[in-house]
Amino acid sequence: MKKVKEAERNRSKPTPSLLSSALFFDEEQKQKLFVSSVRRAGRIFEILDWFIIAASLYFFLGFYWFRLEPVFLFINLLALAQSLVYHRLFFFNLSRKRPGLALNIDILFFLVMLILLTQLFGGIASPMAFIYIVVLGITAFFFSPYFIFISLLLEFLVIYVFILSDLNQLNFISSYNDIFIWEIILLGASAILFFIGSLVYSKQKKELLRLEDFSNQLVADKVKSEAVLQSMSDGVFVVSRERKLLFLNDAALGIIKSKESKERLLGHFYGSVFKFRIENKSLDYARDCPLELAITERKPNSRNDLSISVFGKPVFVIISSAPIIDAAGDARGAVAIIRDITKEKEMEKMQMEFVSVASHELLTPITQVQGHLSMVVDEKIGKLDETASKLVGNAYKGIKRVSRLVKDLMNISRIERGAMKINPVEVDISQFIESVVRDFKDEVQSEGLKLVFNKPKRAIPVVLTDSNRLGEVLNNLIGNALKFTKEGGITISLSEKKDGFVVIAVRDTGIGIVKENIPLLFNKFYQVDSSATREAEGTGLGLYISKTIIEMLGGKIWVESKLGEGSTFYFSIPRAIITQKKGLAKK
Amino acid sequence: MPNKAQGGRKKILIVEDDIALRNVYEMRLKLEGYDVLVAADGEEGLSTAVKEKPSLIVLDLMMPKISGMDVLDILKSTPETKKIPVIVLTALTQESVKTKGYVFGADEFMVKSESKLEEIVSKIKSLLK
Repeated sequence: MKKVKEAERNRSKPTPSLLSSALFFDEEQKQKLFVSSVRRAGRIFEILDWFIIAASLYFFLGFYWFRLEPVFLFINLLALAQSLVYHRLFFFNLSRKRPGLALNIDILFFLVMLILLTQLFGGIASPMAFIYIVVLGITAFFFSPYFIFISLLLEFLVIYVFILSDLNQLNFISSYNDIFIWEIILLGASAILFFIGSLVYSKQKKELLRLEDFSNQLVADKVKSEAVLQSMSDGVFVVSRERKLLFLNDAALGIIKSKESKERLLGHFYGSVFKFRIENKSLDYARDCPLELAITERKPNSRNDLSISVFGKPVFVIISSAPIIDAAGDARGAVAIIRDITKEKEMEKMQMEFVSVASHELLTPITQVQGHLSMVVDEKIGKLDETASKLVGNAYKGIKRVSRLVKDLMNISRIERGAMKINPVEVDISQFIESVVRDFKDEVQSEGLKLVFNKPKRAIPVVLTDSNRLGEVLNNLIGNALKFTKEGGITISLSEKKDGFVVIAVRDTGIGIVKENIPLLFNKFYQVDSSATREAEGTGLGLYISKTIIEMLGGKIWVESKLGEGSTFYFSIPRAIITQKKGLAKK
Repeated sequence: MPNKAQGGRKKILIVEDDIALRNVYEMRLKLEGYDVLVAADGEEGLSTAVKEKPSLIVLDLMMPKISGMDVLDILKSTPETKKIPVIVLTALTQESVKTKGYVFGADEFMVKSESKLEEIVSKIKSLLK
């Protein structure tokens, strides 16, 4: 976290970076900063120029011999050229386009002036020589080692010109000769030392800069990715292979309403920070937590049936987790996204409660109509003529359909609310199927079809299961088979498997199912073909309900089908159901 | 209509607050040849049961004044009505309610949404055999 703060500070500085510059480091801004510092340096040079000019003027007035010196004139000319010509005409534009070059020219001007001043005040013996060496050193270290060559050349040129002029004008050959040799040795030696030193230094500096760049970039990338994660409205957290919390964003912190700071939470087992629960029981992390599955199976996965206990209250979440995989293919940890869906769950619950209440309310009048009509249809109150029988028969069929629909809705709302309960009782399965088949007798006959139950030769022992729910599934499958069968019939068979399961098959000679549709069959609100179902009634909920019920009973449901030849729906139920709530878990 | 002989007719009391359902059960059971008495709430049901001593009682649970469960409790703890078979017919599906019903002495417990009219009729018939 300390690093992040550091990185935050670095963000205000222009830091070179390759990846993150687009987002966080403005190359333009960096250039601007450089330009402005070059201009500041330029102003200092200008001030120095005018200082030199002013000083020369003072000497000009005070010491007569100065007027004779051509070097003196030349220095002043250079100072004027730098401040009036170079700075007024070129410097501004050049410093914008090539700030490095602009600065180098300024330094060169200054070096030349210094060399001339050195010579003017007595060559190697003058204090100017010392200043010259210091400036040379500074420029070599901070700008470029090659300045030394240029200035050395200039120095020698100046010395040469001086000596020549001295030779002609004055007769100081012997003394100047000594100075000349010492000057060359001293300047040459210092220049070489400076050159080597500055070369090494600049190389190191480059390396250092490169390292700094690199680390800045790493920090910048970290800042960037963390800023992206931070700004997400969904909660994000990252867990190490040791299940320790490495990162969590504000949204994640908001979900658990933690008063602790993020830093305090990091490094702890994530399950102690995010107290996941499933159906109000604490979670078996190894089996049911998406993060564990992401790490152990290295597969992204998600769930929407978990909640997080926040001060004892459940916050329902959708959690998606993906593994973080290294180059070797090992999971280094996992990242998880959590979203608070408590409100949605509440809405859903309210909706489902409404469906439940509404369907219960509907049930009474439906029972009323159905009851009265059945008495009329069954001719219990007297014989009906043909027309009346047909009309009342149609009405009866209609109300039965409504009744089935309402019961489907009730079941769906039970499933969604988790209120579907399993009450196991001992069931003689053969007898049970027979009774269901008997209920369908009239309907099958009126459609001109056959409904056969092939009783197994060997008696099947009593099964411990929920007969009401089992009846719903059988009714649904037989009802479906009837819907989609125009001729032929429906055969139900029963067999006992060695693994303690009983398998029931409902085979029809109907239209069959297209292969591609088979995996979709058991989805909520799915109907195979809208044109086929326009004739065949239904909500498309039946198979979904059946699947849920069978899974709750501990079995499986599947289908085999051939287009045009018919379908067979199979389901298995265990001989003895182990009451478990797990079947409710939704994907 | 069949079975109109006065002597052998058995009395069935239906205690149900919903008039629509009461009517259906009443009509259907009359067709079976039973004498059908009706009561619209628990209080009326209790007094009719004590006065008329029916052969069987069909009892709803969620009713005004006295709840079905209380009616059942009173019926089964009163010597005069103790022996009358009671079919509890309710919209409540909870297992706990069902268990409570049996503990209080219900002879049969049926859930409205899961029971067809004919099933109710056949249960009544078998209990009256």
